[in-house]
Formats: sequence, structure tokens, C-alpha cells
Amino acid sequence: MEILGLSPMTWGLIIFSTALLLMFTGIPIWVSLAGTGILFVFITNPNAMAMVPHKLFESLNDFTLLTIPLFILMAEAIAQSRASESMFSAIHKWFSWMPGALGVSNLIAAGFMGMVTGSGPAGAATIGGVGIPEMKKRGYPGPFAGALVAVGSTVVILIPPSIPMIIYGITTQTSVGRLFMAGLIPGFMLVAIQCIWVVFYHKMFIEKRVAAEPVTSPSLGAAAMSAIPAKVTWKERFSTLPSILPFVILAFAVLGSILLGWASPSEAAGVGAVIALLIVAVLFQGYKVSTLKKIFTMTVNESSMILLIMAAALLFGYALSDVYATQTMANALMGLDMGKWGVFLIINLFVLLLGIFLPPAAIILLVIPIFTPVLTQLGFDLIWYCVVLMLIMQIALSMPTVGLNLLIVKRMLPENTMGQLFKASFPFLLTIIVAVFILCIFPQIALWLPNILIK
Amino acid sequence: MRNPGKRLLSRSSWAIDGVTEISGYLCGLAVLAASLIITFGVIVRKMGVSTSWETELATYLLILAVFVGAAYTQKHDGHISIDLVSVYIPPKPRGVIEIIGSFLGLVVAVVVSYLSWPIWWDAIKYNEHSESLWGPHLAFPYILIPIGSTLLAFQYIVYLNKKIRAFRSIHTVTLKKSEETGRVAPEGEVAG
Repeated sequence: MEILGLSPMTWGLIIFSTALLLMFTGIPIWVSLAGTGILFVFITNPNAMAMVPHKLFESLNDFTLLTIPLFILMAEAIAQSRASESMFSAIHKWFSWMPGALGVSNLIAAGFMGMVTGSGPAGAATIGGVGIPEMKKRGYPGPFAGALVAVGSTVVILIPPSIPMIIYGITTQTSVGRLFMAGLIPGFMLVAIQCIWVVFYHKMFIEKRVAAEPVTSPSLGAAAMSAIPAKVTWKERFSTLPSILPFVILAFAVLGSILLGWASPSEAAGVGAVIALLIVAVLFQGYKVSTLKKIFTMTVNESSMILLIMAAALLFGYALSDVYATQTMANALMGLDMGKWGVFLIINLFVLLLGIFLPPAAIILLVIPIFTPVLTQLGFDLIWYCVVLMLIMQIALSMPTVGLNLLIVKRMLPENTMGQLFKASFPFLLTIIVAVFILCIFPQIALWLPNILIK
Repeated sequence: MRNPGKRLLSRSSWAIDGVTEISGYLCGLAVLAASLIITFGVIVRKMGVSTSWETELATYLLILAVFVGAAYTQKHDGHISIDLVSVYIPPKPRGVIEIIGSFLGLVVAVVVSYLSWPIWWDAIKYNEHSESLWGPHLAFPYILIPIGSTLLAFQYIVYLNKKIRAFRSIHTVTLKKSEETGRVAPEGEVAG
């Protein structure tokens, strides 16, 4: 099946390197992918050029895809309400009895933001803005606090709704509803593991550090005082409810209707967006023209950005499969004599490596179509693999390259270096790796919920 | 008045920017409309009425938001790119790369609009309708890609013009610097 004297494998490598080369020069990802796709369709099969607009149209003519702009609209509306800040302080009041309550509250607030937003570093910015100064005041080392917020916030892509999961579902033709269900328990599990690490760290290091330091410097005076958890009355706890309850109800309504099969993800996202807009308009003065303009223009910007990558990746994939490169590369991977888990490890390392440079959406669209036949043939469940993939993407998003979280957090910690922050994030990255191992040993953690809810 | 070509370009870029800005708001309204239509569909379905047009109309509104919104997103530099390597490239060669990149974007937009206008025309000529129950005329959704890519092409011309002007200003700064210091060009900026 040679085309113009070159084997499918060679074509595949040429097409991939062209796209990567273009991307690394700083050309927008969608232009790089669409440009490469169109160029190679033109070179290898000029008659198929007329298919290009059809491919573009068909790539977006999909009701499930609507979930993405609608969840973005919902998230942008909620972002105007400072929900994450009130969430953080409310959770802190409820968990104040716990050692390391501040850190734990940050992690839980990040998990909650995952339940109302699909992706993006917005969570890190808002939670970190309140959480980091507060933690530093109470004796948490700056890099530890920063790493906690930066890595903790990446859980938004694992906890449904998740935009990378929607893209995965469309790419692999798996049910987005099932993927959402599969991510829920592992998401809570990861937050719990990270909380355990924070409580342990607080017990072992922060309490000792605060106790050892004499109350000489004014900043540590406050720290020494708050090492003993401040008494929070039940009245104070309940007084936090009105500011967060609308969002808690919204989150459970949107997720619940998907999980119970009452609504498709697109329908839940549409209704969720309308309700979020109403909440923000009524309770947070979101009816102002300037606020509305911001919500809608941000939604258009983000939706167009992510969905054009999707359309362009389809053109790119078309160019690849048109020279039989997709299938050839998958076969080459199958031919590796490394056993099931060996191939699995290679795939994940490759995804992690790419993830350091490319956003999750681009990776899922570019390489997952090559890996899915391999994974299926090796006996891995594609729903389960999505959860593993999201965890790996979380590690990638915690790197200071594509993941904006560490960069945002760094701005809040001017006295610490990126190296210190990076070092402090290792234990948190380790919790993610632990979660991957647990999922490999007990796949039921991901698969139990979708299996009992959808017969 | 010395250079009528320049004047035309600046006037038309003002117009293109205006149209792009308006199209961006329109796309925002399209997403809002899609969410309202879906909500309506869910309510109606709960009441036992089955309709088929909401899903399709909402999907077309999404296509509108994405393709027509592409120009707005381009204007606001919203298309994500990898700046990992490019931040280490000195300003002059980086300027050249940005110009080449924008030119490539222009080429992609022009090729897509060149290929997609005929498809819209075919839909009109052969009176093509969608195969769904609702069955709207396909000329409506099919025009979204050509309109979007044409608008994007115009936006890229404006963008490219800005980039070239910015590049020229880097160039003049470099020249001025070299006059002051008496060197031909500062170190590290010769490559490119």
C-alpha cells in the first residue's frame, strides 16, 4: 500500500513531525493541524480535497459536542459569582476541627469546582487567591500551599462534567454519560488520598514547625495562635449555606440527571447553563451588561478555540488514515513483544510525554484513535482507560509547561522559586500515581457506578 | 493622502474589526439560544410532546458559534498555541515566525472558504434538505463554514498587517540601537 513510493509508516511519521514542528514554532494548534491535514490530503490524494469542508461540517454536526460550549457557558457564569471562594470558606468552617483543615478545604473546594466546571485553570486562580495567603498565615510553607492548590485543582478534568472526557467519548465512541459516572468515585478517591497526605504533613511538619518557632516575628504570632483550630460555632457553619447552596444544588442536579439517565449530557449542560445564568443574574448582580458581555464573549472564545482544534484534528486524522498510517502504527504497537502491561506502560508514558507539551484535548484527538484498537485488543476497558488517561493528564497539567496552574500559583508566591514549587508538588503527583495503581488493581472503582446505573 | 493603498487598508481593517466584534456577540447569543432551546426541549419532552427540531437547530447554532466565532477568537488572540520554544527565540526571528504562522492561518482560511462556498451553492442548486424529520434546507447550516472561514481570512489580513507593522517597529528599534552603540546589530539578534 505504498503511496508516492513511501510506506504508510513513513507517511505517518512525516505527517506527525510536520504538525509537531508547526506547533512548536508557536503557530496556533488548530492552524498547525488543519494546515498539515489539508497539505497532506493535497499531496497524497488531491481528489479528496473536495471532502475537506464536508469533513469539517460533519466533525461538528454532533449533538453530543454541544455539551462542550454549554458546560463552558455554565462555568463562565459561575466564575462571575466567586462561587469557589465562598465554597472554600464554607468548607473550611465545616472542617475546622480537622488537622490541616485549610489544606483539606482547598482540595475539597477544588473537587467541588470540578463538579460545576469542565476544565480550565480558573479554579486554581480563584481558590489559590484566598487559600494560599490564608495557609501561609497559619504556618504552611509557601511551596507546599502552592503545590497543593496547583495539583489539587487539576482534579476538575477527572470529576464530571469534564471537557476532556467529552472529547474522549466522542473520539472513541463511548458513552459520555458512562465516562462521567466512571470518573466520579476515582475523583473523590483522589481528593481523599490527597487530603490524607495534607493531614499527615500537617501533623508531622507544620504543627511542629509552628510550635518550635517562638512568637517573635509578627507573622508567626498569628500562626502560633491558629495552630490550635479556631472554634467555629454551629451558627457560623449554617450561616455559610445560603451562599453555596444554589451551586451545590445545581451541581447535584446536573450530575444527578446524567447519572440517573434522566437527561443526556447535552441536555443537562443546557439546562445547567440556563440555571447558572439565572442564579448569577438574581443573586450576584449578573444582569449587568458588562458581566453578561464577559460571560458570553469568554464562552465564544473558549468554545471556538477548543472545537476548532477538534475539527482540525479530524482533518489531520483523515490525512493520516487516508495513507493507512493510523492502522499501521497501531499494528506496530501490537507487534511489540512486551505483554499487556508493558504496552500499557509505553502508551501511558508516551501520553504523559506528549501531555507535557500539548493540552489534553489535542492529545486525545491525535493519539487516542491510534491507541484505542490496541487497548481494546489487549483487553482493557475503554471506559476504565479514560479515567486512567485523565489521571495521567492531571500529572501533565501539573507541569509548568502547558498546565497554567503552576504559573498562576507562582504569581501568588513571588518569594518562592519555580523549582521549590515543583519539588513540593512531587508528593501530590505521587498521590495521582498511587491512584493510577489502585485503579489498575481494582478497575471496579471506576466501573462499578456505570455498571449499576446503566444496565 | 500620500498613500491611498495604506488608507484603504486602515479603513477596511477598521470595518473588518467591527464586523468581527459584532459576529463575536452574535455567536455568544447563539450559545445562549442553544441552551434555551435545549431547556425548552427538555421541558416539552417531560410534558409528553416529542419534537425533533431542537436537537438539530441547537447543533447548527453550535456550528455557527465555532466557525463564525473563529474570527472573533483570532482577533482576541484566543487560539491556543505552544509558546514553550518560542519564548526563547529572540524577538526578530520570532516576529518572522509569527508572520509565517499568521500567513499559514490565512492560507488555511482561504483554502477552506474556497472549498466550502461551492458546497453551499450545490445545496441551493439541488435544493438539498436535511434528512431528519424536521428537514430544514441545508443551505442554512452549509453557509456557516464559508462565512466563518471568509471572515477569518479577512481577520487574518488585518492581523497579519498588525504583525508586520510590529515587526517593522522591532526592526527600527534595532537599527536605532545599533546607530547609538555603533554596532551593526546587537548580539543574539543576528540569527534569523
